[in-house]
Amino acid sequence: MTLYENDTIAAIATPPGRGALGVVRLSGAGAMAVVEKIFLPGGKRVRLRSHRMYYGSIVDKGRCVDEVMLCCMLGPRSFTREDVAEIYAHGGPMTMRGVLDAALNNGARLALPGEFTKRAFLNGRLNLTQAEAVMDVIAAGSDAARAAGLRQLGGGLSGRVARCRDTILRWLAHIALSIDYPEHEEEAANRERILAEGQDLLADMEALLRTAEVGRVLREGVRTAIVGAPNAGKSTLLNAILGEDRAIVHALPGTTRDVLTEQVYLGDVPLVLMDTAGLRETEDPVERMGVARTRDVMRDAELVLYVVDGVEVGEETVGLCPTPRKLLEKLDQNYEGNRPGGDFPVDGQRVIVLVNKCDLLPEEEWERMLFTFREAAGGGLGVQRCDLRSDCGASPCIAMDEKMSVHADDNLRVDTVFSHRTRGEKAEPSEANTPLYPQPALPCIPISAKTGQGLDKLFAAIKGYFLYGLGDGGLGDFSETDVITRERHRGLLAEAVGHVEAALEDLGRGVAEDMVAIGLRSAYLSLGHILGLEYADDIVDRIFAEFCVGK
Amino acid sequence: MRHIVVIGGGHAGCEAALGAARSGGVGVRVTLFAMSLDSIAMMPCNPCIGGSAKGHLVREIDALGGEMGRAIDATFLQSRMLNASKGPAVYSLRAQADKKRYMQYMKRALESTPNIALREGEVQEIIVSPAGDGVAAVRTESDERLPCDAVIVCSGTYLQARCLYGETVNHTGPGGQRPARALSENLRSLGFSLHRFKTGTPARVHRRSIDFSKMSIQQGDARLVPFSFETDPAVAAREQIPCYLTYTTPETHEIIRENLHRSAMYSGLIDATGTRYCPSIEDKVARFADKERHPIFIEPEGADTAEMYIQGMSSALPEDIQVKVYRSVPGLEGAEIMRPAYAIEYDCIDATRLALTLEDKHIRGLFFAGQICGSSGYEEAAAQGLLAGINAAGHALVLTRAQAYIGVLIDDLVTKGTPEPYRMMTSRAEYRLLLRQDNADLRLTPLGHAAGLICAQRYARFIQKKELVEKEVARMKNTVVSPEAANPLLAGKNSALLTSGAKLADLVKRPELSYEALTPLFDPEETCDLPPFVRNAAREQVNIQIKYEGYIAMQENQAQQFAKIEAQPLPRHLDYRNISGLRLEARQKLWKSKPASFGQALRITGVSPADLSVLMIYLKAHEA
Repeated sequence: MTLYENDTIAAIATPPGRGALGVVRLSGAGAMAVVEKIFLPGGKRVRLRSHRMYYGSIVDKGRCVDEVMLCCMLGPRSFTREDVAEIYAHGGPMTMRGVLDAALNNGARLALPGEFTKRAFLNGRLNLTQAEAVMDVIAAGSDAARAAGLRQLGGGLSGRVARCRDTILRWLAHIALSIDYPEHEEEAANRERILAEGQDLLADMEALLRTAEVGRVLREGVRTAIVGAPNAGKSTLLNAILGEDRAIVHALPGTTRDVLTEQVYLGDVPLVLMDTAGLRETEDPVERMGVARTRDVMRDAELVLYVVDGVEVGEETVGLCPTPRKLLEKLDQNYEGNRPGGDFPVDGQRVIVLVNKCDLLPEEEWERMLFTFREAAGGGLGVQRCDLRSDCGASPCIAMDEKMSVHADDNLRVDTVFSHRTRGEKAEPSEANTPLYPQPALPCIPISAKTGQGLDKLFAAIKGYFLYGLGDGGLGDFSETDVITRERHRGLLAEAVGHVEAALEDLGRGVAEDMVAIGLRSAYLSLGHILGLEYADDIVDRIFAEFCVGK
Repeated sequence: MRHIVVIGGGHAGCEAALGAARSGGVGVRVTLFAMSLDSIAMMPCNPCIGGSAKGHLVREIDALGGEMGRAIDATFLQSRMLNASKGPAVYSLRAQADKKRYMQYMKRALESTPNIALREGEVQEIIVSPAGDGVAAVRTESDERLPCDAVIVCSGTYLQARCLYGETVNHTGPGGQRPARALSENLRSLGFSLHRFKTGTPARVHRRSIDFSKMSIQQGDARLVPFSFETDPAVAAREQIPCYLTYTTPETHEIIRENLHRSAMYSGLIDATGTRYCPSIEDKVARFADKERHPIFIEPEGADTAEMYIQGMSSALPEDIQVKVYRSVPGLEGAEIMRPAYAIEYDCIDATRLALTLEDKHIRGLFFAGQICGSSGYEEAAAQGLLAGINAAGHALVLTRAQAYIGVLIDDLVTKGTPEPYRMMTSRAEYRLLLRQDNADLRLTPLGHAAGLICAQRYARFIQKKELVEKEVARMKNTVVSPEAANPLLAGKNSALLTSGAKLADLVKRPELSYEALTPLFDPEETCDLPPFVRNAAREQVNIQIKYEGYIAMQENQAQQFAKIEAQPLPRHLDYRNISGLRLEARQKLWKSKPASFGQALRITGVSPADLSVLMIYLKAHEA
């Protein structure tokens, strides 16, 4: 691990983006020295005292950067147990950057990811589990993530892990008994006991493991691409999402492939919107050529929102056939360039077709604006309109749509996105080219990005996909569930599951129980590592390597 | 010339004296004091050596060059491999000993070692150097002052010993031996804190009064596996004497419950700490009230005596109640009790003052081994004695938990300390698949050789066996057999037939096959001049190493993680009291025990992994 240094670090401690206030935090032996250089008190020059608020301004290179409030907390009575200064400035990227630069220009260095918490831990302020949970709480942009972090801090998660570990310990104890007291053979009915209890334990552990996926979504957000033809309404949709009351927006430069991303929270669900050439309308003709980039972004996305113009669809039946492949073809038409190759959607990817501009249709048209998209064997581009209430239930697309429409408001679940033809759909004869392979249809939601109609259904669908729709039968109300939010924990849990599975299999095959105990012990150790009950020499590095930026 | 005094001639003392004398050679002179030379290597309790985990200890003692394995091989009455239905890691050897012959064998071994002097008498004081940091001499009951460079205290259950049953209290050591009255006070004055521990033994019953027809007979194994890697089973083979199994009855339990208040253990006479692992019959009945019966084993004390040992019936009830209790057991209705059961209590030290070498952390040259350290059992004592002997002779042999059960035993005793008499169990070993009884020589004989305990001839033979095993394992992994060659044999063994060539090692791994079963498929291994029994052991080794390769690899991986932490040293003079961030309890515990490594620190009760993370950070910060 890197040696512990007591130099002074600084970072913006509040989430990037616009806010009424933002905080720049400094920590280290030289924090006070830096503050004295950049803070100009509003009134008389006073000696700064610990745990007092001061009004003044931040000055850098002779210029006033911002009017601020300042609070110094001398160690050890601070978060890191070092001298800490917090500068409360006016929110907004430029101002915050200016305040931070002032600190960096005067003796502080930019904090590494997680460095404040790391110092708090290194100085004995927090134990490991607390440190991890604090990182979760701080990193949590949404109520749900915050709740998950807080519960971990309080031991909700550890309780579940501990119960699994206890079960394994009990098995190990029984095995030990039968080995160490072989003359008391009547004690040894272990094999049956373990095999009988094993499936329950595995189910518990796997349920925990599934929560890790939710945890990842909560922590990292759903990588989302909005694609569609020009004027389909992508930017309006973007604005509608960004303008949503609960949304928080900020820019995260420098993620994969230099794609600019914006993170928004739709209620509980964080989305990382990935900007593509087509994501925003642009006058730059060069950017309109960015098919390759769009394709990359689509590949990288977990969620693709494909926006189509509902009026256009309504007027031209040749508007759309949203099978994945047709979708790509459609994209090709919209962009000049080569036809994208490869498979789409990639494994596990969710695609939702948003039929936009429904507000432009008369009320009764809007009511009827529910589509079924079927993959016509000939790849025909026909679009059928279908009334929800009319009898066209033969199509799985309708079924999907119906399910969504009906249940969207009460926490819709979507178990299978690409629900296949299950209800006796007949493939229509081909008129033109025969597709190479059949592809299932995509779910679609009619919306009006302009009026906001249908957005609630979109949000519910996203939530359904990424928070509820996991695993068999989903997770139920995830906020009632403890969620694994750390990659380290997920890895350890997955290891433990692997060991238990192998042990049960061996036991079933008749392998001697003391052999089986070796794998069970590994599982026991892995779970202990999650709980901080085992020691590993590289644990500090591994945990802090995961910490997110600037905390 | 280094002079080493061994106090006590029990199992720890014998191995300590032999270990020190052999290891130090001509540079060392050993004087062993025993209360009585007739009680050298006495077995005051059960007449057997080995058993689960204890058998492993004996194999390890032998692999290091100790005597216990050879002694029991020479004097056993019956031998069995326990846990044979389980995996090879927990196969456990156990042999019934002829107590008298065992004692004679061991006394002769001591007598015939040129640099060991056997002396009858009580050591009453350990005299330390004026600075108080090293051993200077011992003083005997006759006020003789014997200068020495090292003392190994192997006082067993003799310190301030009391034997009790009912209201009877005898101030004697085990079996009526003279107790040691002076040493306890001396140890206190040297700064040791003493515990009071308790153990017990059942009655001995005359053979003629037992109706064996009401019991099930337990024969020894036809295929003999000796304890010593040096013993040829063909030579050790003899007619074996059976043991018998019977059970307590509801009547037994009733009598005990009615008279519980008269047991010395329940009447308040004893307040010492007993062991949960070897409970008295009244403990079993009181604590496991729902169990309908407890097994009772009848074992011979020797070939030349009619005394039978009633295993499972240790007690501190008055003699008249003992008679009733014993006679309520099927087959013991007419039992003539020759010696009553009794409990014994004694002083032992808090072994956390010792280093992993079993030397005191404060007084140089002062070693402890055996029950004085809080353990229980002959094998546990002998193992400690051997290590203490080797180290007193000037070596610094420390076995890790991943190396040997002996390592686990000593680490547990000196790192954690023990609140009750400590019995070795396989479950105490984290890496028991690596610590098999079959590979104790591969693990430890090189260390025994380095310590001077393995003679050149034995070592050459060991190296030959080791190389044979390695070569043969490699051959099995590299040799491919064709379906034509293998299928007839596989068919005969009800094993899935081959459709293409397969490596011999892959066939060995099949549950229904083994190295031995496959021998028709390959040429015999290279001829060498190893005796047949060593070659057989080598073959068994090859079989196990191949068959359990996957599990062994998994356990080796675990052991490597352990070794990494174990290899992170902690400075001896670290002042834990001033490390902020450490919890107060952790500071105190670490300060008190001054662990040698992170691994050892982690095993101290009251020190958590989080504390160690803090400690690691602290050290990193301060070494910069």
